[in-house]
Amino acid sequence: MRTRPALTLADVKKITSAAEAEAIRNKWNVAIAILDDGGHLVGFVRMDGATPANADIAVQKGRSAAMSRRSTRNWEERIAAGRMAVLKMPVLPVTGGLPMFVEGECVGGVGVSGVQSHEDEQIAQAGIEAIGASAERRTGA
Amino acid sequence: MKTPVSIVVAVAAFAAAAFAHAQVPGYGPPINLDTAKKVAAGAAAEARNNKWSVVIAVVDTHGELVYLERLDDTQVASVNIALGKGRTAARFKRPSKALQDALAGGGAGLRILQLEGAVAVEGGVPVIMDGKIVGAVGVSGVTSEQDGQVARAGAGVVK
Repeated sequence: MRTRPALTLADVKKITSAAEAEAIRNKWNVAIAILDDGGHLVGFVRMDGATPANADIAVQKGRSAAMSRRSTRNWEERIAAGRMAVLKMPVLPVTGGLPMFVEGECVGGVGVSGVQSHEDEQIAQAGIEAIGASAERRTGA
Repeated sequence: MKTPVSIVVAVAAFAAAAFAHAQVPGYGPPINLDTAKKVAAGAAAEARNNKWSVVIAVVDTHGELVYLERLDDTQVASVNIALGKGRTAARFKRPSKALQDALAGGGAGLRILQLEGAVAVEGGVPVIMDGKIVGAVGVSGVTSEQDGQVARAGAGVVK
């Protein structure tokens, strides 16, 4: 039987704190969603000024990244390159959602919505770095 | 002249109904993030004191998510249930237990099942500040009564 890392609430709070701090630093108001590797919500923060739509979208981006083990940017770019079939997949193909890899395992995803997509992703990246996670599975060393 | 008992009862019932209706608070401005975090912290403290694993969801006056945290090892199903209870409390301006009780009464109470999106299970409580409903907190993870206890602890943090 192999063992694998899993998010605890303490991890979730580190992620939301770092993501919120990044947003505040840039004067952005966003919704931040943290999902486990099954796509279930484990943490959520909606900053004042972020809209109810942002709340829903952040969750969808985070779930898409967690369950597909890919950034939502990846899906957005595939569609932009012409792969329309992705529109029928259960993912939200809008940049701003990142999976979290720890020791080569996906432990969940972070989704952000409220500013421009690449800025949403910037906030998500700040969040995942707080627990030493990477948005890509690293092979080897 | 003695007042007939039936008239006394009818007047009392009318007064009680009118009084009860007057008690339902109006909506205030939607809860902000800082307050939502305080409510959740109050609820989490109650859960931890009892060694309960729960999901705590805080929603605004529309029932839209403002803050959520899932304590370690809480059953996965509780995420959506906590959200549903919080939404119910915000959108119906009453604790979700009120719907649970109406349903449990049976007969005409079964109509509660037709209310789309309503979660008729205890654990969702409106958050009231300055006499107005600013949102709600929904809790799920242990028994309904325990969920309700945690939710009330959270809502009780703000006045």
